[in-house]
Amino acid sequence: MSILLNVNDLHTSFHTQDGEVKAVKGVSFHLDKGETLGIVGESGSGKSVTSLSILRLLPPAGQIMSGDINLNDINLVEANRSMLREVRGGKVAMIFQDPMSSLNPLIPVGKQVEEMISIHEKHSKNDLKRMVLDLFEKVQIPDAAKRYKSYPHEFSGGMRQRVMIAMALACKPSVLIADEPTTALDVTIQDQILKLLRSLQDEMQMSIIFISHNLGVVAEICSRVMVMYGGMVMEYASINDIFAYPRHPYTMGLLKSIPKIDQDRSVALQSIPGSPPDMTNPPGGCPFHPRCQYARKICSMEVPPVAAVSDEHGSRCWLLKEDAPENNNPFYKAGSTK
Amino acid sequence: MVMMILTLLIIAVLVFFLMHAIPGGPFTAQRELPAEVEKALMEKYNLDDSLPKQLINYIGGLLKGDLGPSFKYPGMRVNDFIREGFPVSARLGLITIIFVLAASIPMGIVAALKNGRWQDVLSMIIATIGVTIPSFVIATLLMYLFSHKLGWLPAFGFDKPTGYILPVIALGGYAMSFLARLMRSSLLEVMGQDYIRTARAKGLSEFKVVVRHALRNAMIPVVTVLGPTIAALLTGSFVIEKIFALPGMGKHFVTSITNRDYTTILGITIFYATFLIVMVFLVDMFYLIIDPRIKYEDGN
Amino acid sequence: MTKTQIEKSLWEELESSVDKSEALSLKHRTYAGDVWFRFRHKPASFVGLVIIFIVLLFAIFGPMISNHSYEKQELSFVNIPPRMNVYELGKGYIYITKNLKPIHIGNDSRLIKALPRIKEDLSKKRTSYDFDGDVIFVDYSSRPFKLMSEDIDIGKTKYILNKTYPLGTDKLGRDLMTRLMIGARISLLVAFIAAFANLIIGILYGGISAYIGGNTDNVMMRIVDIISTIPLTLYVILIMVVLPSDTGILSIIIALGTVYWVNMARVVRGQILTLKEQDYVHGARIMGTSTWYILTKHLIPNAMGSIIVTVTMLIPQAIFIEAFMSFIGLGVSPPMASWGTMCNDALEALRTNPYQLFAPSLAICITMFGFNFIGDGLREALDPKLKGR
Repeated sequence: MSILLNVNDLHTSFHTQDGEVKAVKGVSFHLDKGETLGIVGESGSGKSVTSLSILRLLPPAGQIMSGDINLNDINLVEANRSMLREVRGGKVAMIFQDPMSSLNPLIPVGKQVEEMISIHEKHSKNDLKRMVLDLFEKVQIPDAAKRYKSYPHEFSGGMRQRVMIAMALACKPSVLIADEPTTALDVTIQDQILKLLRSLQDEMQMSIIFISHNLGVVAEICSRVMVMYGGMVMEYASINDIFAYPRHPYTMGLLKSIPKIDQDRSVALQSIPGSPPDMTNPPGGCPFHPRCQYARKICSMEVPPVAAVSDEHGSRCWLLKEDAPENNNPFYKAGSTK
Repeated sequence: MVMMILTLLIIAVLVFFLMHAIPGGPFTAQRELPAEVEKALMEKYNLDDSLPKQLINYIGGLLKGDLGPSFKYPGMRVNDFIREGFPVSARLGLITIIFVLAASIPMGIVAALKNGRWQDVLSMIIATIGVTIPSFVIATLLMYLFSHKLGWLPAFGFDKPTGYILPVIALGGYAMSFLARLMRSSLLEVMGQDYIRTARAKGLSEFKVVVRHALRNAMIPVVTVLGPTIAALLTGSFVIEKIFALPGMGKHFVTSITNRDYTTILGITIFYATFLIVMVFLVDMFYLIIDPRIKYEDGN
Repeated sequence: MTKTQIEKSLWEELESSVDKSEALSLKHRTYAGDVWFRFRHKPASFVGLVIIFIVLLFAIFGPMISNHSYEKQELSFVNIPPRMNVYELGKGYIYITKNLKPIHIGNDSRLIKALPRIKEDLSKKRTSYDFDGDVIFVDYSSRPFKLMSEDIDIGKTKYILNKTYPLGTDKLGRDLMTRLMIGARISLLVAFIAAFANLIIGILYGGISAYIGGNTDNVMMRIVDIISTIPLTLYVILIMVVLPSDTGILSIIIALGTVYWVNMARVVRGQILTLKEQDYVHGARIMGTSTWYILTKHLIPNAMGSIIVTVTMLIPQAIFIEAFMSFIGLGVSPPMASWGTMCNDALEALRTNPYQLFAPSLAICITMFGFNFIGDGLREALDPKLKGR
């Protein structure tokens, strides 16, 4: 298991008229070769900002304040412009949530995918076209030759996302960052895209970071999951562990709120009360404490450190500490934790 | 296309009726004429025919390109005025358009790319002044400063090439400022779009991102507004030509207004209207070419 | 994992702060209050408001407190600048006009009278004048001309401000300051009335077109398109030419007021088209509310934002067009003064009497800036995307 991408204690902020908004506050994770890591969180949790930070694609007001991001031996935070341009699209590719607005409306899609290739490799015009047509076939865009000349607005949502995927894969990157790629699509199309991503990943031995607010979708494609809230990682674990053995109140809340097809109709749907924190004026201590039913005084005062639940499972919660009391503590274990 | 012809027809009819709405008839304004002379003049100008017949004559004449005689200067026809004045006005107009485009677009681009920095602030101050201060105020102030006080530039006429500088700046000032602001806001908006982020995510250099992806999209609102801009330049030219004593069509137009030379006023109006409609049509055609999305809305 | 013990008390349970987390973070303000708040906190728009307020005061009260008339001609005092280069003599100052006529100015910098001429001596190239009993000569044999006297000591020249005519006089000896004030009245009156007329016509046309919708809307908007193909200024010119010129201000108000509504009509139509699909309109319809009531009580008030912004831009446009018309000879007729006619008059004598241009030009600029700042400020204050500060 070789580590491909390593993010260590990332802090990213936005400089606004109201002051510094800390969107990512100390996020660390790693991505192995060939694996799919899911990042789950609500709007404002910092998941998108984290992914944008990797390729330094933040908007003008955004800035990486501190932390390391390493792709193999390349330090992405410090990399100069030309190295960064090599990495973007060449080694790490990204697809975004809304494929309609992510494609230039005035340029035919074939040319846009060609552009991706020609930035990183030299080919003749004919070769480029052939490569793009091959890619279109691979992502299952029917009638590739005709579609090559079409404009983005002539495609349906699902087809556009396939174009984006074709574009992202054009230079055979080792990492694909997918920022909510299915959120804007119908459920049936969503399913198709997920299947497509899975098959492509197998074929190309690519690692994927898959960002979503939907744990269910993440479960379909990811082997490991990271749950974010208020700019921090609340819990990370393998996908099985997260569902079977959640060790964070937020994760538990998320799981409870997924409606089950066979649940009792008379029972009200569960949701986590309250709303996401105002990032211009965040609560102190653990970002989740205002909405947590198990919150303690210390939770409002200090950010909990990451407690190791097992080898690949960690959670940021005070209640996992050894000396945490028993009452109103879902994680209470007599004796030391596992 | 059909709209164009319909518009022109409506304008011609409107103009014709306006001419006949002038109270007291065209000849009673100035001097008292002996009855026979008046009758002869009426015959000459076909004013004793029935109204519908006059209208048909007029339209017929228009289609042949004949705008009729001048009322104030017997022997001169409106076409003569136009032939004299149009080259001068056209030169002024052309150079102004070139100036406007060459100044406003780069200015807007730089202001957008250096958003918030001194290049942006400076450009926008200049543009705000240009949009607020009326053209004739700019014209007269510039003329006073550079011509009378400093003596650097000539105040009248196009004899020397430097004679173009002040009129062009005065005429184009508003349009240049307006387009610069539009270019800036349009480019700023485009640069915030997702597809720009995609272009960067592909590893494109910032320069290519701007040139290949941003500019083309940002230019669209500017092109849309080019038609009315040309129209505004046209009306602005009346005043500029008067102030700088340029013998263009605008000056003839203004003179004919002062003289109440009704046929000339109306004739030149029709000429202007036709010219403008054709120009706007050409610009719209150009717009169709550069934006592929439009084709699908019009069903063309 | 840290091994430090956590103090017992810190394990106390927190009260549920779910209510806190749902608290609204914005202060409560009404819509209008919110717009006003944001407007007056923007420096440029506030300055604009102040400017226009001052201009209005100037226009309304100025002519009342001025002790000059805007139309009374004083032919002995033509083309006197606001800042005069005068000779100092014991009993006062002498100012030599561009026509080489001396004017006696008192020690309080007020103009007294033009000196009566005694005789013209062509051989010696000088003219003699009676200066309260003393004789002084204007010698034009060499350039620059000289003022001489055999008896009185003629001191150096200096600059004094004209206290009788603070802005100087025009070519007919009329006080420019008073004319500027009257001009303000005329320009602003024309602009406001014309803008108001356009507002009403535009709202009605656009509102009805949008509300009825369908083919009526199509036809009505086509008409607007046809009208706006030609620059509206041409229409104004045509109307002005056709209307008899002795109706003065009325004709220009009519011309301006009946042409520029097309833009307002478009804006209003756009707004109402969006608004009429809102649920509260559907609700009102279901309740059986009359069309007129819906239009006036629901739709138009909610479109007010865009309407106000458009009107604020109509006013400087009207001022501009009025001045433009004056420049080509179609403005208000003399002796009435508007800022445009004043600029036009000043043009002829620009080289020699530049001050005649500066006053009205500056007045126009300042007023345009004022309205433009207000317009920009309003547009930003009404932008819903910027709410919540």
